[in-house]
Parts: sequence; C-alpha cells; structure tokens
Amino acid sequence: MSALGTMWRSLWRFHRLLAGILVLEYALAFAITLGAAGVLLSRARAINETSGVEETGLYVLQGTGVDQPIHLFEVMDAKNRFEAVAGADQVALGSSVPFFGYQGREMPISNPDDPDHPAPLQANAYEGGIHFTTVLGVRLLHGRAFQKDEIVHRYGDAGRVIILSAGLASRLFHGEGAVGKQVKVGSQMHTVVGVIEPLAAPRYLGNQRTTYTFILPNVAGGGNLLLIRYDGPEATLRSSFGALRKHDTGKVNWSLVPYSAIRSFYFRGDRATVEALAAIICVVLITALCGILGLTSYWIARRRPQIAMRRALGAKKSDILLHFCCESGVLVVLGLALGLALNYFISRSLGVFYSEGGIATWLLAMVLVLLVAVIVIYGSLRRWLRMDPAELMRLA
Amino acid sequence: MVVTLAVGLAAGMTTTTLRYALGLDPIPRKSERLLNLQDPTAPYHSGGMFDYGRAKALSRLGGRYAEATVSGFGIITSVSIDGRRRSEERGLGIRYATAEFFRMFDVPLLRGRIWTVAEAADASPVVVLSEDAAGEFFPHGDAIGRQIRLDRTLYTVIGISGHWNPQPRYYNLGSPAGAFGGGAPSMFVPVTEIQYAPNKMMVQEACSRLGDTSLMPRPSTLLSPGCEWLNVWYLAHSTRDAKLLGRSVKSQLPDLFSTRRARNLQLLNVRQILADSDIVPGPVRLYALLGTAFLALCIINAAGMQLSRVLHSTTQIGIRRALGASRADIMRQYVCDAFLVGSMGGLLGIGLTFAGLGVVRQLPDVGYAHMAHMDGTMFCLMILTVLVCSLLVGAVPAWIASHADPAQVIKAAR
Repeated sequence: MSALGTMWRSLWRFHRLLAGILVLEYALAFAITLGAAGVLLSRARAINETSGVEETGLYVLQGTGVDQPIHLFEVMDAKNRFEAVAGADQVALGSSVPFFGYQGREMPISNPDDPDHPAPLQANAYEGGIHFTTVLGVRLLHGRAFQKDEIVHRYGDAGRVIILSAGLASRLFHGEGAVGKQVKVGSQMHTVVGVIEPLAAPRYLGNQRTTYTFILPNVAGGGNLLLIRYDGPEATLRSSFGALRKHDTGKVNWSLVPYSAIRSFYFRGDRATVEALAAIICVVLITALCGILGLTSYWIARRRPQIAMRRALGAKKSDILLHFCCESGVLVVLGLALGLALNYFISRSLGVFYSEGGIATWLLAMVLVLLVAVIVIYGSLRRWLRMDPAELMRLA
Repeated sequence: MVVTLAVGLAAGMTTTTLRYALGLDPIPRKSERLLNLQDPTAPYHSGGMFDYGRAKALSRLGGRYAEATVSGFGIITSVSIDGRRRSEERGLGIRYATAEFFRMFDVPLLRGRIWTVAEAADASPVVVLSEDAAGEFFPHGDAIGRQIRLDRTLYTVIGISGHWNPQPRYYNLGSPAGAFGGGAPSMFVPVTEIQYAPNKMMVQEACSRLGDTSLMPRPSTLLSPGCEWLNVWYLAHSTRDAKLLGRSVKSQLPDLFSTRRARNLQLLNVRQILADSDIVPGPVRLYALLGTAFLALCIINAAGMQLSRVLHSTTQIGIRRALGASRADIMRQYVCDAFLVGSMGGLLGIGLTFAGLGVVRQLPDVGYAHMAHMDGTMFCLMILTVLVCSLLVGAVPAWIASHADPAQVIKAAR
C-alpha cells in the first residue's frame, strides 16, 4: 500500500498533467467502446434471435400479380402443384412468417375472465390454413391444430377458434391451462384450441412483445404466402417452381426462397450495423492507441534518467516493467472508472441503458482497453529495457 | 495531429448533424397551432383514431377558434387507367380528407383545383393526384380531366398536388412505414367518398374493435361506429386560440366519449406530439453522443501530441525567454502553431463531414437517410467547433510553455 501511495504522490507531484491526459484518453476510449459494444452485442443477439419455426427445409413461395392483384385461386393452384411434390400436409397457406418484415398485424387480445387485466394486449396475429403449424414446424404444447371445418375461406368472415403461443397463453391465463378457454380478439370471442411453443412475430421488436403471437384459421385475409416443408433435394422443388413460373408467365411473378434467405434478408441492416460498429470500435481504439502510445513513449523517455539510475543500482528489467505496469494500471483504473461514469451519463441522457449485453459488454470493453494499455507499456518500454545500464546512463 | 482532428471532427459533426436534422420542426410556422386529438396512453398512436361519426362531430368542435379536418389513410394495390388494370406491388396511398387538409398541412397544388363543398357533400368521385402518380399514370398529356377507376368507382382527376412528404411524418406517426422515408399519399379523395372505398383497401388500425380481423375491412364497415381509422386535426388561428380551443374541446369530450376515454384524450400540438414520440431514433441519439465523445478523444489526443511537441522544444523556449521574449510571445507562438494545425485539420474534417453525410444518404433501408443534410446553422456550428478545437488543442501546451522558468529550462537543456 505504501508503494502505491508513493507512486500516486510521484504521479501527482511530477506528472499530473500527462497522467491526467492519459486518464482522459482511457476514459473516453472506454466509454465509446462500451457504448458501441452494447449496441453491437444487442444487434448480434437480434441476428441470432430464435424464430420458433423449424428453419431447415422450409421454403416460402410468394406471388405478385402482373396486371392485377393475385387471386386466391392462383395461390391454390400453386399449392396443388407443390403438394404433389412435398406431400399434402407439407404445404400450407399463411399470412406471414417470423422475420418476414411485413404482412403481420398487431391486434388487441384479452382474457374476458381476467379481472386483473381488463385492458387488452397488443399481440401479433398470424393467419393460416389447416397445416400452418405443421409446415412451420412449431410444436404443439397443448391441445390440437386447426381442423378443416374451422378454416375461414370467405373474405370478411371471422373464425371462432385460435391457437396461442406459449408466452401469450401464459400472460393471458397466468400459467393456467388455456385450451378450451375463451379469448377476445377485438370484440370477437375465440376458443383456444391449442398452445404452441414460442413463435416470433413477423417483425423483430427486440422486447417481450415479440413472443405474444397467435394464429387465426383464415386463408381469405389477403397477402397469402405458400409455405412448403420439403427435405428432399432443392432441385426437385426448383423444377416444380420453374413449371409454375412458366405456366403463369405474364400473370403472376412468383418467387421461391428458403427460409434462411428470408432471415438473412430481414437482418441485413443489423448485420451492416454490427460491421459498422466493429469498424467504429477499431477506429476508436487505434486512435486512442496512437495518442496514448505517443504520450506514454514521451513520458517514459523523459524518465530515462530514473530508469538508468534504477538499473545501475541493481533493479532488474522485470522490476522496471512492474513499476511502469503499476503506474499505468493506476491510470487505466482511473480511466475505466471515469469512462464508466461517462457511459452512465450517456445512457441516462438517452433514457436507455445501452449496455444491453450485460457483463459481456463490460468484459469486452474492458479487455479491449486493457489490451491497448498493455501494448502501450510494452511498446514504450521495449527500447529502454533492451539497453544495458551503462548505455542508459550515458544517454540519460 | 491534422488527421486525428479531421477524423474526430468528421465523426462528431456527421452524427450531430444527423441528430439535429431529424429533430427539426417539420412545419415551423404552424407547429404550435396545428393540433391533434390523441390518447397518449394508447399504444402506437392508435388513440388518435376515431370512427366516422365521432370524427365528424369532433371536427365541429373547432368553433371560432380553429378550422378542422378529418382524414384517414388507406393503401390499395391496383388501379385501372383507361380500362387497363395496373398492379402496384408497393401499394398506392389514398388519403381521404376534407378540403381544408390542403391548406392546413401546406399541401401544394400545382394544377387544377381542390374539390368544392358541393362536391364533397354529394360525395362526387373526384381525386387530386400527386405529381408522381400523375406522371406515372398519364405519362403523355395532362392528367386533369382524365379518369381512373378504383375498384368499382370511376374518379375524375381535378387537380395535381406537388411533392408533399413532410419529415418526420407527424400527421401519421402510427404508420407502419415509420416516421421517416416514403409513404406519401398518391391521391387525395374527399372523405365523404369513404362509402365507395375500394374493396381490399388496407387500413391501419381499422375495425379490430368490431371483430373484423382481416387486414382489409369491407368498405361498408369503414363508416360503422367503432371502426376507428380517421383522425381529426385543428389549425388554431393563433397560439392563444390554440389554448382556448384545448379548453373548449376538452369540456365537450364527455358528450362524445366514455368518461375514461374523454379523460385520456388530449389536444396536442405538433411540437408536443414529436416531443412525446421520441422521434429521433435511439441509435441516432447514441451515435451523436458517441461521435461527440470521439471528437473529445481526438482533441485530447491532439493536445497530448502538441504538449509533447512543446516539451521537446524546451531549449528553444528557454533561449527565447532568455533573449527577452515575454510569456505572451511564447503563448502567441504556440497558439498560432496550434491554430494552423487545427485549421488544416478542420478543413480536412469539413470535407470528411460532407463525405460522411453523403455516405449516410446512401445507406439502404434507412428511412431517415435522406435527411442527412447540413444547413446553415450546423455549418456555422461546425466552423465554431473547428475554432474551439484548435484553441483547446493549443491553449494548454502554450500556457505550459509560456510559464516555463528560463533559467531552469536552460540548465536542463544540453
């Protein structure tokens, strides 16, 4: 402790200006790295967000009319073609899929028998046909899938049954069994026939609401996609797709994409942000490294006589290294503390604490700044430690 | 030093300029007088939507304090021009509104006219096309007087509106398109025409309260009580009238709504709506702060470099002081030195800032990217920043140099 006190007094008495600048550099580098790393990690988490569907082997077919909007019968024709390839229960109509980006809809849903929550929740609605859950690969936790006579085919009609995702069912019924109970969607009552595993919303919103999803048995709502589950060779599917395109040339523009492409396309902005933030962190650290290295080298060069004297009096290279490491350690710790306070101020002024990655963000930012400090000390001392004490004394 | 300052300035000014541009008042002359009835407790601005009957009743509450307009927005995916159907994959926006909408929201009319009171009362099938839509639908010749079919109704084009897409989109913040970017209406139609609205028109926050869970409610339901998709705006004659209007409307709300809803509804002006909405995206605010912190880091870096330069020149300083140079002379020398370096860094930084804003404008899938422009205020701020940066970089080292004791310095010098 007394050695630390001596070091501190020496820093304060002889080097406070240079030390102050170094502390500020460490603090700003840490604050910026922490802020950027927080966003980077939260975006990286978004990219890897679980969709809830079995992504491998899932294909999505979408058509747009050339001269006029696509008709349901054209979609049904396409459905028949792909059923012949994949199997009757492996093709389904649906309004959207997780991370499709649009064609999702938020609707008010409530449990009319829950006196604690009279106001409805906003949840994400999917509309789909009889095999919608099977083709998506979403596992039923309780109850059953839709039956044929429950599917609404006529435009404007409303169904009577509903399937809830586990998160929504738990929220509405406080963990009790939901199957057989009634929920209110808008002002329409629906009976819950099934509860599925968590299913993400068409749009990733980065919070709990993305798990509040439900499925309505409706294929007449417009904006239909054709979902195909096919584990065979993609070429076979592409061949049927080619035949469909040829058949509908001039009427419908079809596109067939694997689910992985939908996911990749949806999160392309997040990927670009992650890359940009990684580049920003690199630029900040390199800038900080250049500044700190230059200043520390100069500082250490000015203390050449001190190093020479200590070496001449018998101090080993490791003693000198340890001394400067301790000194820099004090500066780094002060810098980290100040940087933390700065980051807290930034977060407070934004109203959001951006270090969403939690301990991982702290560790990442801290390790990066410590790495800078180690490079700086090693780079600054290397030249002087290589010289023998006599040569150092002559230069000093 | 030059590069450090330039990079720091570019990062700080690019992010701050974007932050500033997104927070600008979209309708400066009217933002305090243009008011919307909203329920701030409802999610996604859905609390400002009303059914047709209530919207009409609310529009009459303006009285002598303000004029009012009722409007709603729908998206269709096909129109027929000269008997030929066109599929519009990205959708065409239709704004149903009263004629006051044009004057209240500064929608420019390039040619033709707006519908008359009689035409609105008779629900005449007339439409004002946007300039872009007119050019797309009728590439040859004038669109005025031509006809377009929306589902079963044939509409006559009576006017062409100029570009109108205020950013942020304060009049429809609940839009799925977000507050920035595309989404401007392609056509304006009298609000009384709602009864003839096209089938399969997508309407935001429409009739879910009625249990109509489809994305596209039937046109007949759009007029039904409970089908809430219209909003009401007031333009007060003065800021004083705006306050009086607020009191007047608030006192009459219990006659139209339940006690709870009447209590929640508030008349907010554009500035209040934008302030409540946190219109500037969180990442942009974060980047602005990080950019400023990075600028500070670069200034400290440059100041450190300047300090080591100054301390390297102690012999020269000592000799100058011994020969009679005053502290002010030494100070002046090093401040000038820093100013020169700072100015070069500043000039390079200004160039990099404009390049940075250009890069932001090219970002794909970012609705606000086109807003990354620098106005006069921000340019002046940038020049001021350059000067302050130069001063900060030079001042401390110059002060240290000028306060060095000449005897000590010469003694230490070799």
